[in-house]
Amino acid sequence: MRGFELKIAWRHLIKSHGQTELTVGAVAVGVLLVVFLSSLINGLQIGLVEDVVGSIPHISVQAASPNAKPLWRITDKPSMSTLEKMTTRSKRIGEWERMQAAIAAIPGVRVVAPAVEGDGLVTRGAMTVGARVIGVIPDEQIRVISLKNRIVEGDFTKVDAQNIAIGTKMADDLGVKVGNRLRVTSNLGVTESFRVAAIFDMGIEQINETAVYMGLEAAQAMFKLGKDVTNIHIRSAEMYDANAIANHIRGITTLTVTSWMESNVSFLDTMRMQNTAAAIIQGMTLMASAFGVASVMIVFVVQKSKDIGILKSMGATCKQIRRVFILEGLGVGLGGALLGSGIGSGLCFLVTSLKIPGQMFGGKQATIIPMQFDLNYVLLASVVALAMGLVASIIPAHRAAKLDPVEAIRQG
Amino acid sequence: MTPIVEAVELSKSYGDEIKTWALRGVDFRIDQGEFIAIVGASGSGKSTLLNLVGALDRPSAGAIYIDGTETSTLDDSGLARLRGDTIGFVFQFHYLLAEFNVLENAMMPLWIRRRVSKDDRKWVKELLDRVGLGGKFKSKPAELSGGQQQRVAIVRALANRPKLILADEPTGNLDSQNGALVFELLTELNRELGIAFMLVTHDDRLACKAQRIVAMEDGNIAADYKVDQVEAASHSALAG
Repeated sequence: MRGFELKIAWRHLIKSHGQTELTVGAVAVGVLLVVFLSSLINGLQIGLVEDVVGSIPHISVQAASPNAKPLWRITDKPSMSTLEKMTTRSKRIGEWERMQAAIAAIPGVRVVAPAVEGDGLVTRGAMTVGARVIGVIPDEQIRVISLKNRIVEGDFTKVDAQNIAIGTKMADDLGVKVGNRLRVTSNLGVTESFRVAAIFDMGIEQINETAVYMGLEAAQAMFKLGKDVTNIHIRSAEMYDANAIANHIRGITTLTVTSWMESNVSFLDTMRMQNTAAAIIQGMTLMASAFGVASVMIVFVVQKSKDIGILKSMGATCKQIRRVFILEGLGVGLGGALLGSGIGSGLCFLVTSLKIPGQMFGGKQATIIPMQFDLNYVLLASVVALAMGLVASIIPAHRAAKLDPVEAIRQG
Repeated sequence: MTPIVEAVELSKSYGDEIKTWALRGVDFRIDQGEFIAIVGASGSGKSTLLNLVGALDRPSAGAIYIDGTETSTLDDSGLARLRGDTIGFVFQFHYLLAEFNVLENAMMPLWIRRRVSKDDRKWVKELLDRVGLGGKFKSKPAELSGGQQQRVAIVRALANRPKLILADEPTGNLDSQNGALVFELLTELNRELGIAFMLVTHDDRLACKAQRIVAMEDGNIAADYKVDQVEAASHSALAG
């Protein structure tokens, strides 16, 4: 290609009496919407996922708790008896250190920590509330769930045989602060007195209301487990690998393995639907922009038909004329991409800087609109904008290329 | 000497169902350096002949050889290249591109066909100087008078060093004084550069200044004669 096409296209674009501004604006709006909406959906989802997944292990291994089954399915002998569900006391994992080591060896696993979970009550004076007692090794638990930024008061690492951590809701309900004492009773009737060492906000009401973290040994004693535990908590390096890792673990144990993705199927479905809806909106906006660009360009070709005719009389070929208008489309796409992603990015940064004081979302200071800007959206939107410019220019360019020079000049 | 244009039994019709013949089997040739005026009433086929000679259009029947190439052997791109290399056009209106200045407009045919060399630039500037636009290189077409605009269009037609300039009513949009000046310029350029000119005009006074006059009537050439013969004839008529 010679400089001719570029020269004509460029002059047309910079001296178009508003058409360029309009079409670049149309593309920019499309790009802006893609960047802004993607960042918004992404920010929302990262926050939601962080709230959902941040406070629970990616994968949890529990002592098997089979449902009642006919005995004949187990023994292969005719029988009318059934094997009943095991009682709470028998749900335990013995020799968990071996299991912990085996799971830790699976690729993609970052942290493996033992835990004891059971139900109980928390009492302060005359007030009693239900509780989910979780016995953990605090230094390891901090690595299993995202406790960073979630501790409102106190120090979670102090959690041990005498110190517990409770949620903000429970603290409010019972009117306790860090340093106050509480009585915790397990469903096996063991009662101990603890000092509140930390108050957390996991972002989920139920956890803030009922969860009580204590030292692993303290919980083992309360639930009469000896050296055994009830759960093994796992954090994977990539949270969306949880299902694959869970399946891997199922291959080496008969224990019940649950990933966060399996226990939050509807949540993930909702996210997927959100993504689809966003993609449809973005796609339609881009299409509307492309139609706008195409129609303005068709008018432009009509306006310039005299010039096209004269260029053809001077020896310009159909291909050259077509390239002129394709280049103009690409130019409009490029201009729209730059303008749209510039404004879109600016808006994202502006919106993320508007914080709501005292409110948390996704383990971070909440903003008026949760946004997560990603350079990839800008790149994607820009590629799409260029493609739009190209597609929008095909019909106008074809029309221009096919203009009969005799007709074009005569009608001029 | 090979002619620049040779038409054999050249015909052109418009319309599919009902055919209107704009040219009916015309034989015609243009030799190097000729200055031809085509005259005739509206609808006599002048413009059709010009479009066919200029390779802007294809004949319905017959053949036309432009610089030795038969046009029916060429595709659209081939025709475009033939135009770019061989022919320059001047129309009734200047058709300068509003986005480009005088020098850029005059260089346009060069840009279309090839990389522009220093020699090309020099040539175009010399031509602009020659037509009295030496100080207007950077002016936009809208800033020029009608006569100046048409002179830029003439330089543009010459930029590619064509063998033939086709001019369709080049003075038709100018007042008589400017029209005469532009016509004068065309005849001078014809003499100086040795380029053939074929000019369609309504103005008989201008046509009489051509070397050769071709009169069209109903799609046929009604008369084709050298002007000195006409002058001789008119002188003899006056004498008689």
